[in-house]
Amino acid sequence: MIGSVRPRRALLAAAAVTAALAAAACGSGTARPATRQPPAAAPVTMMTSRAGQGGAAWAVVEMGGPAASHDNFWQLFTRGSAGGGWRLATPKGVADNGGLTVAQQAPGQLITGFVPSQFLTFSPLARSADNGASWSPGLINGGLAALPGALAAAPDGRLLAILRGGTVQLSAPGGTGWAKLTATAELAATPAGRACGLTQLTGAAFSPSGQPVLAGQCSRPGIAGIFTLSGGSWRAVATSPSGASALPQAGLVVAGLARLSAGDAAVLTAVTAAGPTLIPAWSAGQGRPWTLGAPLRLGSGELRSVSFSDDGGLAVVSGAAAGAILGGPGGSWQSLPALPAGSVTLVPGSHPQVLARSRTVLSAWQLSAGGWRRMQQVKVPIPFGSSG
Amino acid sequence: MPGMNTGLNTGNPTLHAAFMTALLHQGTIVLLIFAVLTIAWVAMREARPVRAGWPGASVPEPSWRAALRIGFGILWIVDGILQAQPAMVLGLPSQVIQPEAASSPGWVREVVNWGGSAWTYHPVQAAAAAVWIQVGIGIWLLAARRGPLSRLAGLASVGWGLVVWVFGEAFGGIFAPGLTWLFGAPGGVACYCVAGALIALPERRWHRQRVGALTLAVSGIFFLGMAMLQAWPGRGFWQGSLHHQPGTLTDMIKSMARVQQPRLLAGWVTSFSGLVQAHGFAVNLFVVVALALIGAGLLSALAGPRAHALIRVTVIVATVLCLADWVLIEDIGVFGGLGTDPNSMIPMALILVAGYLALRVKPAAAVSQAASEQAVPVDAAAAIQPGSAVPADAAVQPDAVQTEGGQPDAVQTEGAETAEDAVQLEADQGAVHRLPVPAGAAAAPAVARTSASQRLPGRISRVLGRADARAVIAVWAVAITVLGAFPMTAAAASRRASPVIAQALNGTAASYDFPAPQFTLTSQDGAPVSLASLRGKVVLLTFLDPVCTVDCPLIAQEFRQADRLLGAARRHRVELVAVVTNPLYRTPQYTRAFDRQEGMAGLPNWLYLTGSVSALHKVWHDYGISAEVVPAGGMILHQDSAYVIDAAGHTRFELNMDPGPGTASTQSSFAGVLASAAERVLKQP
Repeated sequence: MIGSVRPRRALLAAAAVTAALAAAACGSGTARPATRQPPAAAPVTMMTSRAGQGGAAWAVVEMGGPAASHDNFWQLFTRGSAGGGWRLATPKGVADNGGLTVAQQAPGQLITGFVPSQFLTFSPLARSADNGASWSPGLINGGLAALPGALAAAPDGRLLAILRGGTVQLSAPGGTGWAKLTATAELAATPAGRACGLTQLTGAAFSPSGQPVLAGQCSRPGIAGIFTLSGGSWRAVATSPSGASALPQAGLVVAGLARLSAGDAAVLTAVTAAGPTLIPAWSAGQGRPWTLGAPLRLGSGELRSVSFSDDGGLAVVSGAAAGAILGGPGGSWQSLPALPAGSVTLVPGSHPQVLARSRTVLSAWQLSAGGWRRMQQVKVPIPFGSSG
Repeated sequence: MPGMNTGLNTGNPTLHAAFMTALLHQGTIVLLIFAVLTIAWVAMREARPVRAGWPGASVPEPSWRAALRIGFGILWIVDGILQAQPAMVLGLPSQVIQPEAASSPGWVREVVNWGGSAWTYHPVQAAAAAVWIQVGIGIWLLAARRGPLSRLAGLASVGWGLVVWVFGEAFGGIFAPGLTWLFGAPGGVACYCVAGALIALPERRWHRQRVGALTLAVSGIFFLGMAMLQAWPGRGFWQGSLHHQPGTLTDMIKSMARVQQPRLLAGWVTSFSGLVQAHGFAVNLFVVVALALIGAGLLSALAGPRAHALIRVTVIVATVLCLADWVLIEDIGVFGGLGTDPNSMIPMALILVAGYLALRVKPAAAVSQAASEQAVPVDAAAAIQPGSAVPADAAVQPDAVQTEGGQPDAVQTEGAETAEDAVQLEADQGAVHRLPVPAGAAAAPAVARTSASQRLPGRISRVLGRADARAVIAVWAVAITVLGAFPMTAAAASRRASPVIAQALNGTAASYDFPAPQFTLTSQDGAPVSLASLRGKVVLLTFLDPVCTVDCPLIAQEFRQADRLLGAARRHRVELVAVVTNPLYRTPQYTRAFDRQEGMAGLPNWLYLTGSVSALHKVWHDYGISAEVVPAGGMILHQDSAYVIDAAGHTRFELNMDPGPGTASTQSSFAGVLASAAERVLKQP
């Protein structure tokens, strides 16, 4: 006699197992694509440059690589005059794999912030009064956000810093006595922040009158997220700019913000149906509205660098080896010939230069009648393996 | 999975040497246990000659059970031997377990990570334990043919199998999206568990065909389910290639072909991957149909004897398919230095064959009758000549003279078991064995007790004296298993990683005895601190850059952990001291920032000292530290040294604290080494 299992019980078991397997198969199938999101605004990069009076300039460039192996090291280069050469001015003493952000207090007076990397959670600072020839140490009790405009300096020596997590700190003159000024969530909860639908802060600066200015990303279309602290409360300063064209009805990100000699300048990015677009904006302060400049269609490729010059000029580099410069308010964009390989930032000015990097060599190219001409090469002793 | 990696190379010679040493030491213990057991057994048998058989009519072990017991016994031994590969010490968690669990849900990864962390904290102990547990279970299964010891072997197989299935195979990947029978779902060790459960069945179930019917029917349902999963659209199995890239199945097979293995086998696997890539749909269709037909065929076991022919064919086909899959897809599973077992197909085929054999087993009544017909009567047993072959299950009645439980007897017959003894010794009996009965003993029903048996407790003496070779080997196997399980359990319970990890990274601590160079610096609170002011305490001294991004934070954490390991009782006698190694960022505002970052500010015995550049340079020089300022964004380069200075101000140890990869296990190991060094100095007069 064979001991057999009752068929009904077996069938029930089979059905249960089958159902479970079906459920497992459903769960293990290829994930469905997420709900379609509106296109994100162009990312903000940390590589930038700034041209001052007399051709003095500085530039921040990421070199070495790859970042995954902690072999990327950010470098600061400075130039004394338009005819002078670039030299390595990276402050020493701290590993800078997280990035460098530079604030200009006055021509030749630079404050460099180290964006923390790996186990470091606070940001050492370095101050220079001689355009990067020598440095003295400083400190923020917090980690700077990885933004090109995370650190700003007022002419009186006060510093404004956007930290990781969105906290904003303001220092007393000299970069001491840091205190919390606001935070992304707090700013977003103000009437100005709500009108913008502020999602994150992207840059800090001081207005010509010395007021802290913060810029960010707005989720509400057609609104530029630039705020200034006035009378103890935050106020949107660029909600109704005037200019050649109105702001596009798209989410706007302030990709660059800087205090120039004649006022503040910003570069807004928007992703519209036609693709990513840059919109320059300037403010002369004194409560006057911001002025929009001509938009620039980026085409393909990420935004690699946004640069300012003290006289209001702008320069941008996109990932597709494309570069464009703008002379200042009221000017128009001038597309440049295809940039040399490895170009990362354009230095605006009467003789625009583009800085191109290889692994350990920085090349400075200048636009001449025949196209780009290499003016200089700087060999950088990248300390490979020292941060791994 | 942060806990799964020590960051060390799997070929690390220090760990290899430690692993081999552990295996050698434990192997010596294993042999010693065997020797002691053998000597005791021989002595007891000499002292207490055994008469054949046990009371009661025992049925012989059915062929299906023997197939499972022997088959899985051999498999466990093979697995144990594979575990002895040197790369297993570090490679198992990081290169086997972690990838297995990578595509599973988060909760699975967490569970698996717990086990993986325990392994990486004690890699040598865990790897050696795995060897002995698996070899032990294998020998246990092979030796214990019947009785409680045999059933316990089955349960041990289930228990350890579950441990391996959960922590080693991430639940056999059943929660991962790529689940497929072709690659071993639901995990090879799941088969070991099933086999163990069948082996653990009581004797009264051995001759019930229901065991075979159930085994095959459940297998049938499993195969049908696997066919359904294989056929499910959207899982990538129907395409040999997709957008000019290898499809899911092709990619899986290609990954197997890349394993270091004999060229011939690699050629087969590569060729088969090419076939799958070119004809993915046809191959998958064949697999789906084959699995479905096998499933249906196995389910017919429920239909009774009329389906036996069909089942026989199905089992043959399934076995052939398993073997083909084992070679062409699972790549035999043992190559590459990290193969832990021959994968799932051989165990699965074994279960199917055993299921079929169980279906054909004779009913218990018939076996009992046959056994009783073969039983040797008492008189016959008494007449057996020394050295003659006797059926183990021959019925022997206990003698009239019997001992009190556990009390030494003046006179006892060789067959004087209590009923309880009989149950215990049931396992010891083979079907046929030779009796080492001394000449003349057969005629005498009673044998005088020897002094050897009088020295041992009576019960052990009786049990050991009556045991046969299989039982002794089974007991030895239990000892081997315990030898592995005990240190593994102890290691899993300890969260203090083995010092061998630190040793593998940086070597051993250097031992000294000379006066430590004096210094006076400033604490993080601005107070002056000299080494002389710390006299009376053991000082753990290191050199840290407050704005360092890698090593220094890790070393600080190792100091914190060492402080915790020292405990409240010793903490007040130990001072943790760091000296700044950055000449640029050196003021107390940086040391305080570092303390906040690393959570050192709350440690009452933590001092982070700094001073003028010249003062720092002097301390660095005195302790052999160089602090090099690096251009272009590099951090300060300095040695990662630590010194243990005793209460009298003498340097006793220098440790290389280079934290290496800074994983949880390496940090714990360094902390343990540091704490141990401090403990040793504290104990010294």
